[in-house]
Amino acid sequence: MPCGQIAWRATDTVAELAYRYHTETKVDRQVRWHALWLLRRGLARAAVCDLLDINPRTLRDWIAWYRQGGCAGVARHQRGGCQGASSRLSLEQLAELAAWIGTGMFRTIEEVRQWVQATWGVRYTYWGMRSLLDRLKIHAKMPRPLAVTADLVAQEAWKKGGRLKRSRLSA
Amino acid sequence: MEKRGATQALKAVGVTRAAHTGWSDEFRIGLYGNVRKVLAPRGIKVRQLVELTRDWYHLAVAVDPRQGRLIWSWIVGTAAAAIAPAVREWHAAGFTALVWDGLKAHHAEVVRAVGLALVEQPPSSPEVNPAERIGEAIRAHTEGQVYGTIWKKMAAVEDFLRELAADPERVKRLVGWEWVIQSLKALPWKLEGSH
Repeated sequence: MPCGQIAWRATDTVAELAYRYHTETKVDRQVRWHALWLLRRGLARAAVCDLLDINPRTLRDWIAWYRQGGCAGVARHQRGGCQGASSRLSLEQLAELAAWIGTGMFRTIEEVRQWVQATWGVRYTYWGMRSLLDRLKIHAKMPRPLAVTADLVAQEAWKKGGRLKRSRLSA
Repeated sequence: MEKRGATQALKAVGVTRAAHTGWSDEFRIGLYGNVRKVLAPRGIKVRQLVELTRDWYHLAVAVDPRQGRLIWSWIVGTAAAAIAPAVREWHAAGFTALVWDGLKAHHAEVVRAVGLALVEQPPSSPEVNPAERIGEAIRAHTEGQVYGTIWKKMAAVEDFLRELAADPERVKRLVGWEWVIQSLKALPWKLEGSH
């Protein structure tokens, strides 16, 4: 095989690469599939670089990844920020935090931040806690009012058949 | 429409730039609670306890947006006889002019007799009264909780007002609106004809 030619895998047909290009959801990977698809169709590297407005060295890297690991090798490389840092709280702590927040005891993000620091000694910035709550799908919500004097047991009984209390019946 | 209406109104009653001008309002503080927003996970219904007791007290507040000064008095109702002692107290504390809404009691003889220069803001316009912002801050701090008695709620409000009054910069951030400061700056140092 002449130097510079790509040894395409048998499964990586023009149709397969076109399918990857059209169905890819990550923009950075989509450009790679587009470039490989065009190369597979026989376009010269310089033409592909012109068409997609990419640096020849970038295309060279993508081809090197393909040679090493095929499509999986190309897909494995991610640009910075895709993985993200692991959470400072464990899964159990996150579940406990969500349960406490579900009781309606916190009104502000700052209150949650201070509570987490006091309970587990884990420090968050305001924006760190804000994005954590976003990830947990926790947002500000207007609660339903419940009168202090309301009897929840009586309310449930009322909903399940409307039985009045014995004392009321006898009266 | 004539611009700087507040300045013109203050000038008309003889207020100068050197005067200690305050904005004032009355709030009803009661046990009848409102719910306040809380953080909660999506899909979870949150219930907040509220008291349904009709027990009220009134709070009269005056703020100086330039100095961040806050002063208040608890009053029984908004009748002139209740407001006058509060205004007298503020006068003694150094206020020389008051801007407030068109409540009937604000025009009463007993209130005018205190001796402050009184200016009425446009009708139905609480948004032009910086003192309303103090009421919002009080509500944000005290609502959504159960107190049991009106005295406990008043104590919570009192604590919050003390905390606020101790920090004039915070008061200025709340009530030192640009147009208010500019209106006061546009006042003359001396009135024409005075020496």
